[in-house]
Amino acid sequence: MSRWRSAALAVASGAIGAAITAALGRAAVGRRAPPVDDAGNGVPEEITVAAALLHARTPRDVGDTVVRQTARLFGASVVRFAVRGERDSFEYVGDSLPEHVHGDHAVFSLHGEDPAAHVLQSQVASYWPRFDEFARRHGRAARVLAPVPVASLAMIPIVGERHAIGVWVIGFADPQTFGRRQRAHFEHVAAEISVALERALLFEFEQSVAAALQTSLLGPPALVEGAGHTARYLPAESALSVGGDWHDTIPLAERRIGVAVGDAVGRGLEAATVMGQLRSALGACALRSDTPAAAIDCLDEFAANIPAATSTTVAYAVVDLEHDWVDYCCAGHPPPLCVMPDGSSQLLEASRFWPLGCRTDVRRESARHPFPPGALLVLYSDGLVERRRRSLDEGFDRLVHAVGDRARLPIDFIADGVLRELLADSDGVDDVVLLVLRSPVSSPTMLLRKLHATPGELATMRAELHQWLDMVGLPKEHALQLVMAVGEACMNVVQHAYTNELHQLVRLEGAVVGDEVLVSVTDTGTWKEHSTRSVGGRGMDLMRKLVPSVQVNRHPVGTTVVFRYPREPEHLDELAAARA
Amino acid sequence: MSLPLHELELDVRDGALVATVVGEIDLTNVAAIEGRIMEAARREGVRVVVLDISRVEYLDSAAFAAVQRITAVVPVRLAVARTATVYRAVIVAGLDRMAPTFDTVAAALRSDG
Repeated sequence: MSRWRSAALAVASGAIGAAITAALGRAAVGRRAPPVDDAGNGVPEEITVAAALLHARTPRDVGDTVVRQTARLFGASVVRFAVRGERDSFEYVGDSLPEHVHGDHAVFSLHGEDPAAHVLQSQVASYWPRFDEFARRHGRAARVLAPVPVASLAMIPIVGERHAIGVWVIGFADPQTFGRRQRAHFEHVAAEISVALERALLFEFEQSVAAALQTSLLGPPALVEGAGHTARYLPAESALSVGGDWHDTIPLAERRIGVAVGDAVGRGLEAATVMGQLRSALGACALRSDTPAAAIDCLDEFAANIPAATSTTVAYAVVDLEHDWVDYCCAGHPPPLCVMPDGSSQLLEASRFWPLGCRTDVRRESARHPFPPGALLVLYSDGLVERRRRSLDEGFDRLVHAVGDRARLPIDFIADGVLRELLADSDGVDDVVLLVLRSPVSSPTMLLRKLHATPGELATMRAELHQWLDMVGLPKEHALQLVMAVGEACMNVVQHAYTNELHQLVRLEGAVVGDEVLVSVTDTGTWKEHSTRSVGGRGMDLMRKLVPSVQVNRHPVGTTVVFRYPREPEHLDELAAARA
Repeated sequence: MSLPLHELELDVRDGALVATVVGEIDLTNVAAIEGRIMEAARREGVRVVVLDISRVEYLDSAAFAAVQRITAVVPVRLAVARTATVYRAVIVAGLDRMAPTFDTVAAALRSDG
């Protein structure tokens, strides 16, 4: 990944280098940046700025570079640099002022009163040889600069091909005349900055398109029949590294479910599109293949025609609920984690093969692992376990513990909890994908059932839940209260959640957590109306009366209602008696 | 679900309709139960409906809504024994505040409310 990234950087630098060469009309700056030391010794000043800008990929990089380089080049006491953001807002992305000073003034609107906004609107630089005049006209803006000595101030627009894309504010402790020569010098540098900033904005835009594409492809998974599963995709925090990770769930024959997680190399739009192709191809291969290994080999054949797909890693597993086992195969991908109902866990490492596009002369082979009711399968991408300066083994250990600590909770709690715990110290440089699947179970510690969202299944749900609560040991009349509340939630799903989805399913889960019984109802419907009425009105009111804790979590797609009931609810009766 | 969720018994005593439900009331059968009770109440011209839910195993907000709709047409009294499965839920959910509630059908019939 890092190797690819530096290669991409070299290409990008080459393009910008050529552009700046043209802009300056000199041959001094070629495709390769000249050696720049921090003092800029031995290199003409403008070239120092231009060269430094070669390495600026994001608007923020450009801002930092402008502040650092032009403060020195012009001997300024303060430099600020604002860049166009969404909807005509501008943000200071580079600033020599300490953060606690500019804090509230970091963002302004193109249509506001800020003097920088006037400069942007008119696209004409404003020069203030006498700062006190500026302060008289723009008291608020001047006060922001109060911590630094300013005698003269210049505000120079950075104009792109279509419109003003930034503003460069530069102040001096010593009075300046801002004569013709000096202005020409400023505007010359501004033109260099403009080239770098246009490119950076384009780059940022491409990254955001990649993130949007990736996120829309990897929406929350629809529920599949049989097992319970959930998945998360988190794009890299830095927009620079978005792209390439995917997850997928493929319903195969009855009681067989394929789950896949993959990681296409590369970043940005290209990686996102490659990801989309490979994900679809694996889905098709999976339907025609008897084993996970055969499906990955098939995907490999497809990938041979996509150069950018080389070195993609994939983990693909097929859960067989009929035989209580899971078959899996890993192509260069970190091993799935399996947690047994008794809490013991194991990384599934018996089928480790090369990534896509490496060799086609040998076939991969799947491995098999027991997967009894209640067992948990966790697939993920390396962004979850890899940390700089830490061993991968440590990452796996952390994963095993993070999952183990919450292995009996409803699967959405596992997914969210594991991400929270493992990514707490992440620098967000990589995408993260996590997929959690549990086979259906009804045991004294856990419940997981998938039901069709039809009125006729409500009675089945109640019977299942009653049976489980009996196993858990909840007194009968309290069990009924909980069943009634859960019944309300299920009825809401049946009546309102699904409009035209193909698979209209509800996931019912239960867990014993400390001295509480926790039951959750999850759907992936779009709901007929997004008002409180859809989970609501009389039903919601009733749920809250029947159960002490009811929590409604709305997801981008679907809803989870979580009920918590005391396991030994006698004290509830005492409370009720006290109230009466 | 091949087995019916509920049984409904209708009986007219002293100008009152006694409706005894056994089993479960939910989305699938609530309309049928409500319809039969309303139809009988109209046909017999009763002054009150006594709804006996002592042998009900489950009911939900759809059932509550039905009780409210019947109440709008003819007064309803509920009979639910303290030993009934749903007794606790009926009290917690506040169904007893939608209609006068009695331990037995006899007590409900005796009442002059």
